[in-house]
Amino acid sequence: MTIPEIHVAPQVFWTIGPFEISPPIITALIVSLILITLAIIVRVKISLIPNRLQLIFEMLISYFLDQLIIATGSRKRALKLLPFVATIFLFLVIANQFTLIPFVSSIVLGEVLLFKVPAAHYSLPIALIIMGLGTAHILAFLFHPIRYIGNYIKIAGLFKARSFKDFFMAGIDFFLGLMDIVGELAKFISVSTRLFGNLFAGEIVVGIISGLLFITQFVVPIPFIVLGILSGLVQAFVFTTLTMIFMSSTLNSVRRAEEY
Amino acid sequence: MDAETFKLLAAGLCMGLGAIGPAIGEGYIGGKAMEAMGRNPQMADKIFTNMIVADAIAESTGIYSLVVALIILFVV
Repeated sequence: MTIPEIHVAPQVFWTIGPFEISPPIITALIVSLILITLAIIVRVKISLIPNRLQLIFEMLISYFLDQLIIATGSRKRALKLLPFVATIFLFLVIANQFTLIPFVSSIVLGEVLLFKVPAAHYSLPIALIIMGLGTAHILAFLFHPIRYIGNYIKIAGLFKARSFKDFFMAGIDFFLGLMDIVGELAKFISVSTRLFGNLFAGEIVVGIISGLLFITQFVVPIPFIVLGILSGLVQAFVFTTLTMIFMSSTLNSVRRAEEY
Repeated sequence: MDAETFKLLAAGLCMGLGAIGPAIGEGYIGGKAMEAMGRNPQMADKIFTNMIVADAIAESTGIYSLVVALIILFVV
């Protein structure tokens, strides 16, 4: 029985200033390079009669554009969010499947694997969600500061109250607004933990199954690897969808109904 | 029993009990989606994507218990 050691924190190769260079960071950088080359290739070969690669990307982009139009309520705002959301999806799809490329998962530097699924370390999901939802919150604040704060600290109702019953309802509203702050913080944790948990669990299951007995190294992990591929794709999709929905709901919360 | 034993027991119980709720929820969502797809096969694609999203949300308590189990095992 040689179950591999399980590390929650990534192992650090070397440090450059305050940055620790670890397997997930190297993988994430390489995935970014792949994405940039893909983007350049698609952009150079763009034509009125699309080739296969262009068709795939057009399909993806029109799908996310449609979803964003439903979520934000207008094509103009959807086009503003589209690059960010679509990039997160492409990045996660490639990053989650990156270690499936043959021989990539057996390159070793020192004693440590050089490439690991970056989303299986908590830093990447939390960074992505802070980027997404943080941007949405800052934009909403800049767009209409008073209405943004008023969404969470609902003090206006207390002053408008004319009777005791009104005052009571306004008080309840005020506390519900304070609860919304907790709810907003919980979104950050729940969305990022979902991505992290699924990929990390997939990695651990394959590791444990292949380390269980000598025989189980060969054929037995295959169904679990297939499950891992599926959950990687699904989680990339779900992460993108949830980021999209939460971003647009935050941005829409500072708009009045007549501005639609 | 010493503290290490309790840790392993707690992690196992946490994951096992935490998996009950998501299992029920996902089964219900999947069953309802199948029903809807059977009734209206043209909508199957749309229902399927919505089902996946709903599944992922129903799964969150399972994921929370996984994280708690990991914290119990590796951090505490």
